[in-house]
Amino acid sequence: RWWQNRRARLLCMLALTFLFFVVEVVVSRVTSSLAMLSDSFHMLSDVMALVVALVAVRFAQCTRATKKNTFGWVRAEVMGALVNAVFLTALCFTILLEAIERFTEPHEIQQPLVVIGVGVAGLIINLLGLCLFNHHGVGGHGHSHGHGHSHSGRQHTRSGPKPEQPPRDGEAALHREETSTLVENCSSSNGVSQEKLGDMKDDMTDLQVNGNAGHYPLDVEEVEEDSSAQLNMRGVFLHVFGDALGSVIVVVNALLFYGLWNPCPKDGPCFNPCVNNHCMENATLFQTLGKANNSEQESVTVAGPCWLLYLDPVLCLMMVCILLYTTYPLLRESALILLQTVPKQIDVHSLNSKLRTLEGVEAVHELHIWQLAGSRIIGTAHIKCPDPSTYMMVAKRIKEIFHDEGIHATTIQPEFASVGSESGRGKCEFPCRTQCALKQCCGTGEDSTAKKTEKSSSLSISCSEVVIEFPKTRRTKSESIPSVKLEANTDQNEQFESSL
Amino acid sequence: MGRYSGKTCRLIFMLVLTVGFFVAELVSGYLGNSIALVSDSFNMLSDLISLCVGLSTGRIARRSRRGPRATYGYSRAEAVGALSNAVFLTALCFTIFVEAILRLARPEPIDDAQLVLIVGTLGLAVNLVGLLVFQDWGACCRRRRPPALPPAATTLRAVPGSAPTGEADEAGDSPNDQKSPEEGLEKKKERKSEALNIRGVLLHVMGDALGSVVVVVAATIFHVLPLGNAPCNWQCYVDPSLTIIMVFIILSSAFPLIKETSIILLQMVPKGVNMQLLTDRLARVPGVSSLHEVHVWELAGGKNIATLHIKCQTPTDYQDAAYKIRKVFHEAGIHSVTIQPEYIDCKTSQLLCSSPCISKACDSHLCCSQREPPLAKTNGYTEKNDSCLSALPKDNGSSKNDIEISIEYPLAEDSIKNVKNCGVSDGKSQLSSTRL
Repeated sequence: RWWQNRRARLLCMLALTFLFFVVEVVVSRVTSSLAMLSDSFHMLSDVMALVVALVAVRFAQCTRATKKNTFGWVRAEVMGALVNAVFLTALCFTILLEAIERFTEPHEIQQPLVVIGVGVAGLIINLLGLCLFNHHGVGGHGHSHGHGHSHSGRQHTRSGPKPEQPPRDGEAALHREETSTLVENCSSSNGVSQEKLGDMKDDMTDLQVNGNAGHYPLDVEEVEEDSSAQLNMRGVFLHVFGDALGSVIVVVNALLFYGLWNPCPKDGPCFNPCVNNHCMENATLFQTLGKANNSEQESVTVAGPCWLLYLDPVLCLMMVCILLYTTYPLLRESALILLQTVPKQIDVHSLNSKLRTLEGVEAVHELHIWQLAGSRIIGTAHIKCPDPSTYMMVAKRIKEIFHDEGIHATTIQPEFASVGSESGRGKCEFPCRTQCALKQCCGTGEDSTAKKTEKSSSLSISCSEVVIEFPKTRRTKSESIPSVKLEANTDQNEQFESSL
Repeated sequence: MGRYSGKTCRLIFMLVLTVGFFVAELVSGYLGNSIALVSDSFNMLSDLISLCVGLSTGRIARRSRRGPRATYGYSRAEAVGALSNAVFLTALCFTIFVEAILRLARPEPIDDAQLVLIVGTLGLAVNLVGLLVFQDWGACCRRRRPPALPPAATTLRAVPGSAPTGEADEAGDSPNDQKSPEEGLEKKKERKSEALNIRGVLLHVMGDALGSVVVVVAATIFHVLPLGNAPCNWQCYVDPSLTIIMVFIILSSAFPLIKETSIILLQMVPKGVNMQLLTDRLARVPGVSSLHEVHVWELAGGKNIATLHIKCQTPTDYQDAAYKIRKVFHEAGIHSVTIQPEYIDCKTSQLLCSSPCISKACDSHLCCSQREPPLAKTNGYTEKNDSCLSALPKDNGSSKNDIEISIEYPLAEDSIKNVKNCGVSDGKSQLSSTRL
């Protein structure tokens, strides 16, 4: 269904809002009401927020790596959420300034009926927007078939011993069908962008050529709506919510004004006690005088009640507080992702200790966990093992440990301890050259300062030279692989020395 | 690093100055019952907010690195702060633009031209002082810096990265730097990251200064040619039109800052790194059969990080290639590299990762989908001539199929054995007994 598509929802709301903005501008010209003109620009800010979200969604559909971005553009939605949140905060700030100005110089509402009419129309549009964007997790249906199709295709190719070229053409053709309806910029998306598959559900049922669609745990895909998409939609939702609150305030204010305000008539003496406060004493004097002589003098209309004039700024202040309170969590969440922090649910210390307690692992360093966007969490680590065969044995366990934490994209660098390196357990065996220490993402380990002082005398020695003194004494066991390696190592040593 | 480097010193100074002026303007506005003063004081408030954001992100970025909550430390805070400042400024410009348009529709003269002129001039003075303070880095707190380092000094203009030394820095240092390397590098690194932070604040100050200029010009016109009670003539249109011009000037300087911070925050390949060239050079390293999952990104302030998976035949190949790979990266200016070796099994494709995660169900959580074999030359997939010979024994047919977990690693373990069958025959391995 089309409304499950994020992009369709955004476009629909964008069109509605822009239309309403135009209508409001026209009405304000016709009725020459300045307040309506300024209110129409709130709609324009909504339009800008929607544009930002749309651009982010468009970008984020390209999940493949490109020349400019090796991770694809999945992070665009997180950034869109942050931009929207900051934008909303800035708007709150300006509304706050306007409200404070109104306190010092209150205005009356001219033509409250028109304002009520337009306010109600705006409120309806905003409520519609709220419904559209409150529907999180709607995009979870309908892509099971597409998912199963592509997976079973791959399984089919892997089961045979022949190389994958011929079946891949078939698979590629199917992928092409899938991707032809996707974003044009990406040469081919990863095929599981959830919203589009919802559209293509009908197509997919025809394309299930490889059968066996249900083999794969599909509920993994269905249950998760990518949380970065959720962040983006939340940003838009908050904007629309703010606008809805603004419309509510406008309507309430105008209604009360219409009902309770006693305006100054154009003719006849009128006294407006709500402005020029320092004249209040004269006003009360005048009033008492007037009451004393009211039989002969015409009754003087007094505009009021004055508190009505202060209703608008007070309500605006309340709205600003509500908006800031609801925007802050979004701001914080998206900022934390962009700051490369560890996701909340992962405990790095326990992960570290789990890795260290594996047998065969001597040390773990440079352990980095960060969230790319949504559920894509990336980890890197350097694992120090005594020799490559040990590493082979623990490699799978290491990946399993990461997998259990939810980190599926890992890069594990094995390092093999050099001889006599008891003190250097924590040292990275493969850092860059010493003068690069400051340009590395994070020192070179716990002994970094010690290492620097060691090396400071000989700047041109690269660190890996120290490392590749492979253990000549340890390989007394009958493993033949290390013995093969040993011969190769001595070659390597000579090679390195000559390269200096 | 000292607690108060030059950057924080400047920010605090500017903060104090702005607070003082804000309070003074507010008080005098209420005393003199002038709305113009009060509203102008709130412009200072927006300046204050941007300064606070700049200060606090600078503080955060220098916090102790590598807590359990942030394995890379918080050095990216400055980029986030700069982006927030730029977006905040864009939003303010938007509202100013709207007001200017409203004024064009309904022009009003300036009432108390003299008062507005005085206040505007004072505000302009404060903003000019701010601009000067940020430009002149040597003005205060020079504790840590040695006095004369000409290349470093030239890089501290408001537009970093355009100075030649900045570019050379990105492209990678020569192994023997003339100046004492740590000092020079640290300065350059600071230059780049503080530049982002300061630039965000600088934009706000510049915007404010331009606003004050417009106010002064308009008030002068009204002061010199007073309007009295006559209806609005061309004078009333000066203010809004100048304001619109100012908005465009500010936006045109805010967008480059937004672009630069996006490069960092979106994990894009940093400027100055050519992925095609890099992957070509990497593929040519002997011992590397193919590479995939090459990722290069910038953490913040010139620190580039790379990860990649390489496929080799033997562990010795890996050791050998690792050093050379690092050299290639070092020359490209990337100094934190993590290399994952995968050993070739002639049965699997050379292009696909042998060890994505333990089961295929995780594919959607991977940073780049493994499902399709990628197009050649994207994501650094390059391979050399297939070094696997044909007709390999298929004794481990059971490991390939439906047991998802065991697909990858037994192949890795067998690969030692199979590689020997492929070409290198050096005795037997005892690893076959450890197959899962």
